[in-house]
Amino acid sequence: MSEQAAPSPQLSRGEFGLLILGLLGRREMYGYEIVAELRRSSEGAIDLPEGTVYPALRRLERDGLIGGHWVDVVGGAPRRRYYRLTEQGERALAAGREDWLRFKSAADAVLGS
Amino acid sequence: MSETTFPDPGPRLRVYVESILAGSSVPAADREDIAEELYGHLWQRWRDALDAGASAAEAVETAIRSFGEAGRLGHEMTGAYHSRLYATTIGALLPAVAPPPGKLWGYRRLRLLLALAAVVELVLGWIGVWMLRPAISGQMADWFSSSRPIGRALAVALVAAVAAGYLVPYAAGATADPTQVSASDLNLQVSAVCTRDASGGVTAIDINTRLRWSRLDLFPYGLGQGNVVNSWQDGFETGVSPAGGRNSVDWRTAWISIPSQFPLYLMSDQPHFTSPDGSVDGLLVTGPPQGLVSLDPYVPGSEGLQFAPGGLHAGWTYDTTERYQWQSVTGLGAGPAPTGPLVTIRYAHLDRFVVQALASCDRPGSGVPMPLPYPWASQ
Repeated sequence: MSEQAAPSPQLSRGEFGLLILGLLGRREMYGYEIVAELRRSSEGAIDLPEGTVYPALRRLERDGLIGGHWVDVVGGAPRRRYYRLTEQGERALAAGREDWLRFKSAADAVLGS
Repeated sequence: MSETTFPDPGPRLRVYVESILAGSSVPAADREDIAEELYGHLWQRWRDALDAGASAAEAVETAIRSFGEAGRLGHEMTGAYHSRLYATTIGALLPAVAPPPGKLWGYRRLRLLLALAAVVELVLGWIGVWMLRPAISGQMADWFSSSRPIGRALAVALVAAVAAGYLVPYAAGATADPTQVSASDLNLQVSAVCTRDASGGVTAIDINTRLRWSRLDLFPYGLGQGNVVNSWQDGFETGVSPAGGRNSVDWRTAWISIPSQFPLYLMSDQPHFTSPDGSVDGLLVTGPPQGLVSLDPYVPGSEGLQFAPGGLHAGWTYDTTERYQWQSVTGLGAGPAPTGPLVTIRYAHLDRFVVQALASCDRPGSGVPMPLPYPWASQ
């Protein structure tokens, strides 16, 4: 009998964007890599339909928080679009991280952990 | 170490990407880039699934299934480019005028025109009332106070009539369209005749797929879904398991007999095949079908056939026979032929539904509807 997987947490659009910024704060990544890294870093807790990352990336790019550039891949694979944080994105990540920690601290206090 | 050759999953994945973009209003300048990016993701997912041991066809399904529902992704993509107001009004209507697959231009444009007229009418109506309010507020108060109340039933009927004008188009899209066929209108039968070796292993399977539509869609793309740009055609895929995928011991399609009077196209994971007219190297066999088609031993395990647009006729019986052979590639771990292979036929009607039939040696099978969203048909 297959084990019932726990449902992925419900992420708001802002939270999802912040997580992507957080990953891109480590290094440049392309969409597939972001999805895989999100899954790996969250130990499978965040397992969204993979396509949902692309509207989020477009939104972040539209807002000037990330920038994308194409990179050719050897071996016949399609080329990849890598994303990196802009300066504005770095500031947004720092602010978002601070907000998140403040929220987490408040939630911990309320929940008593 | 020798490099493994992979088949090109492109066409089916590209169709899926197109179905995502068809439901969005992405700026034309970005459309090509997005399509390439989405395709690249799907390609890598497909490749990883192959590496994990899936067959070529299974890998395509895995890639599409894990990517998400195309309509929702298209809507989210629209939202990524436009304001929420735009995305929920004009943006939602724009796909109606995207290039259709050949038909219903007039219908789509009319639908867009009516929808735009409704939006404009609503906005102008509110503006008019707002502008006139100071001037006529006294008169309106007098009018209200002197008016005779209408009965509750009449009030409900009036409100319902107004609301219906807005709700009916949505309800029509959500309810069964009587002009459209359902899975019960398709009779799908599959039988398999197996050839065995001395040890009982199956070395060849002759698969006969017979299908018959009792009726067909009155309108190809429906009344309630006129804005769906649909590049799907009817078609079915054959799969034989066990099939290890990759270039090792596996099943391969030896030949397919496509009835010459039926406009079926071969859409194969095996891009190399020959026809009686000469060698053809490509995915789609264009023009009338060729009768018997021999396939090169490439990546085996499955292949698909599609009907040409307009090629289906109610009441016709479509018979296709194909032979799969158990093959061993020297040096890649030849194994004994399996004793109980399973044949799977999956027939997809546009993007609406999928009917699947399973058969084994000497045990035919009939088609049953598959739950949606099915990887092929979730768009």
